[in-house]
Amino acid sequence: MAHLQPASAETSSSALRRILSDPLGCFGLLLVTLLVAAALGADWLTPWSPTALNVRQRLLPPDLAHLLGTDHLGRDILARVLHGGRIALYVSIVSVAGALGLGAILGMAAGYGPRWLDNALILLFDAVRSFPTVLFALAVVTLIGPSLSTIILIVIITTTPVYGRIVRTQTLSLKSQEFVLAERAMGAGAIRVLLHHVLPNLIGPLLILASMEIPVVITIESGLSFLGLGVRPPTPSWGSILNDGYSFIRDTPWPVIAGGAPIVLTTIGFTFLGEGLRDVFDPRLQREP
Amino acid sequence: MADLLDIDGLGISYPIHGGWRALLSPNAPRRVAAVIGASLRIAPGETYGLVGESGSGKTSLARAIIGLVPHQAGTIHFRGHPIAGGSDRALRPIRRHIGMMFQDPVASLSPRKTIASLLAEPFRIHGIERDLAAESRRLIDMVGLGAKFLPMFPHQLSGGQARRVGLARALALNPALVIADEPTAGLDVSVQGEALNLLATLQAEHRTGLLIVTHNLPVIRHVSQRIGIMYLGRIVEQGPTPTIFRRPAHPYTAGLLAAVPQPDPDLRRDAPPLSGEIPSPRNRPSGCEFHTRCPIATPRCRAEAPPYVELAPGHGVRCHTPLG
Amino acid sequence: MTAPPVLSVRNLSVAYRSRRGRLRALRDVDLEIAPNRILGIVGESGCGKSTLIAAILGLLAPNAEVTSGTIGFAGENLLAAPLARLRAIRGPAIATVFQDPMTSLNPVLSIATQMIDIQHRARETRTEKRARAVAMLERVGIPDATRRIDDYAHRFSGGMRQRIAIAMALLMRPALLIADEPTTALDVTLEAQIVHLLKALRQDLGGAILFVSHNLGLIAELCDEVVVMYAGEVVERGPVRDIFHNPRHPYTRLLLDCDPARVPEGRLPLPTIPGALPDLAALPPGCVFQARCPAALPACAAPPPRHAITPTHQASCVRAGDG
Repeated sequence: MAHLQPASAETSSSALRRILSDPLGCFGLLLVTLLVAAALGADWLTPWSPTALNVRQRLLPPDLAHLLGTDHLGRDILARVLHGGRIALYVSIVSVAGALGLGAILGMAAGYGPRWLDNALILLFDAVRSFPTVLFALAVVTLIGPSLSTIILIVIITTTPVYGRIVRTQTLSLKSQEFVLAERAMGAGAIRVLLHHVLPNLIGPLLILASMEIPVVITIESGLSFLGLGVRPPTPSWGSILNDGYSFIRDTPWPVIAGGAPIVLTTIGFTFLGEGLRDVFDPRLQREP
Repeated sequence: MADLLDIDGLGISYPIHGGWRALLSPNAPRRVAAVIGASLRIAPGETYGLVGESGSGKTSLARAIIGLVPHQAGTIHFRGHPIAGGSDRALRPIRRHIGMMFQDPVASLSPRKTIASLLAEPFRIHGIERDLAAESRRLIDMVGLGAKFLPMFPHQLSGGQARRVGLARALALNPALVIADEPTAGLDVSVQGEALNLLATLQAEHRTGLLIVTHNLPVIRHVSQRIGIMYLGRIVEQGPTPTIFRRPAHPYTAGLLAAVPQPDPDLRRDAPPLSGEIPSPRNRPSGCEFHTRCPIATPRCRAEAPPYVELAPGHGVRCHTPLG
Repeated sequence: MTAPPVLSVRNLSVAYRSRRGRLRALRDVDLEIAPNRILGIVGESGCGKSTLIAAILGLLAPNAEVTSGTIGFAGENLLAAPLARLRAIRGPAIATVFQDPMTSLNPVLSIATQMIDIQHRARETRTEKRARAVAMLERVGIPDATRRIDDYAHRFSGGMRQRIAIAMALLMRPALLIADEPTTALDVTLEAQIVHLLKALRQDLGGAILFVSHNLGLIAELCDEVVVMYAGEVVERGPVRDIFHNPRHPYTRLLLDCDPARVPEGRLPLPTIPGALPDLAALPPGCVFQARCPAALPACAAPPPRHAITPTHQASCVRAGDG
């Protein structure tokens, strides 16, 4: 037949190839890869410790020894940025994965389960969504104290409803499609239908959403750290680098630039990667040969 | 002989989501009837054709048999066991013995599974220990597709090929009854025959009961022994295929038959055989529901719903003035 | 027939660039429609009818390439016409009715708004345009058109929507109406109604109709001339009686045999055409139907001649002249 091709349409290698063929997606992937490599290799990429003080070398401009200069306590800013990237990625990946998993489970339960469960979960999602994130975060931090786990907890609680809502809507539309009816007609139960036939069709849109959400979480972490509600000093974080920089912006611009640039680059990288993924996963956007 | 499937007085209705209007008029009906008082029987090895236009309730009826749609009135007995809705888990033992083919051949295959995995699905669902690879190969050969199709995904198949995969899967566990919803929809004329021939051959081999739901009268004529005609949720005429085609008793059946265009320019018609459209099930006409389109309607038809009357053994009609 | 044809397609070939090479979707297609006639195009999926319609409308996909031919309409070649000219022709002069009326009607505008909008080139008042729209809706059989014209598309049934789509297409009195499988989504009783509507409108409005369908019964019911397409080629063309009563191409014959309305009752197995369409990227050198043809000869390995059975009836088959 005319349209028979080798069955490799859905393999990950072809997905990767399609991202690479799109300049923006390729750029996003490059940025994200560099970011992850920099965070993972922080210990080897710079000889300095992110927390070692050297009061004699405060607020130095960039030179060969300190590529991004030093801050008000004489710490190497590059080391702090790289180690701060670790924190940023750790927080964002753990909390996005947690929210995604929880959101997917609750969303599928709402979309596929009985009506009362759907109504109850929707009510829960909307109630949680209606808290202003910052006020909610302040309240939680006040109650259990600032720490990495607090940030992760706050992000999971506030973003789970976003995923839950989307998964619910998708599940509802998949539920009435013929292939789900066909599986049920063969005798498949709810768990089997959800795990084998609904979930695989949700993964694409969810990955796109998650990659778009990671920079948002990094901003939340930076923001809370900037306000002093995030990671405790002296642990490096992009937000606390920025905050320290602001106090001394009349003396040197470098800490602010060094703290702000990674946030901007991360946002751009993950957003472009998300756009690239969308083109790969959304069949309606695929151009026919 | 005992009936394989016995449907008696089946009634199916769906809730209406009335929006804000429903709040203002709490006494308005909250359900709309899709099937009313439908009765039919299928014997082992028999092919029954259920014919109707869209909105006639034929798909609801077919889905109720397998419990995908709950029914509110009447009974469905499959091999003497009642089917009464319930959870997917409770219905699993019965679904093992009923194969179902859905209308859209590609959309009824889970899009991210390979054909091999889709064909093995019935065995996995029912926990039947077999060599699944061998079973998929047997099934794909049975419907005349080669093993090269096994690693493919549904979207790589044509409509006709996907239809065959659907048929193979419906027959995987040697069901006693197969329900085929529009088995020729979306297929080219030159391939329609293929799908039906295959269905008929495999049915004859396995003595499977077959319920074909369709709007395509010319196609059903060649494969079914008995035909039921549905209109607005009721079976308005039922009988042996030759009788229905040669001496239709209900004016709707006659109109449907006359509406089929003949591939011969010398047999052109001057006017469409039936005017108007099937009314909305939310606004059922009074009396006989067909009177709004019936060329021979009388005042009695507007007032009084006709009962189902047997004209001959096995041939019944719901009409006050059946055609000779 | 002495009147110049409304539409004349000559030697049209279209290919698509694809990863698998060039897909030669249309090859040397010839057809013409005289004023006030209905031409039927019969073909199964993959025969090239969608490409043909897209070419006539100037709506070919970006990866399509016209490799030869002309499409003459009202004395000009549409393939050479600038985009602005094509836009002026599409709609007022060549109107189209598609398979699914819901996709051609805008769901968020009322029927009245849409029908007045498409008359934007006419120098008339809004009231006159509205009156014209109402009159056209009444003509296509929309009951209570004066009131219902203000409804939205979703308030109408499928059959009514298709009537509205036809009314909109005919509002500007086009010289050519392209009806692309207009009844495929409809039930058989509505299908018969739409076909009769088209027949009646042809007499009133005097335009030519290009009717595309895979349903042989509808073609026989409605059309004056028929073109049978297979895998991107016209394999047979002629007056409707010649095609149905004296088909000369084996594909036409087999297709007619397959129509379940022609098969004697209870005859199993039903006739089919075994085999599959040839690969458009690697076409056989000879006849495109050769691989599936029960009457193939060694001579079929060469391109078949276009055999004229009568001056108006032609079939592309070496055996078309046999009795």
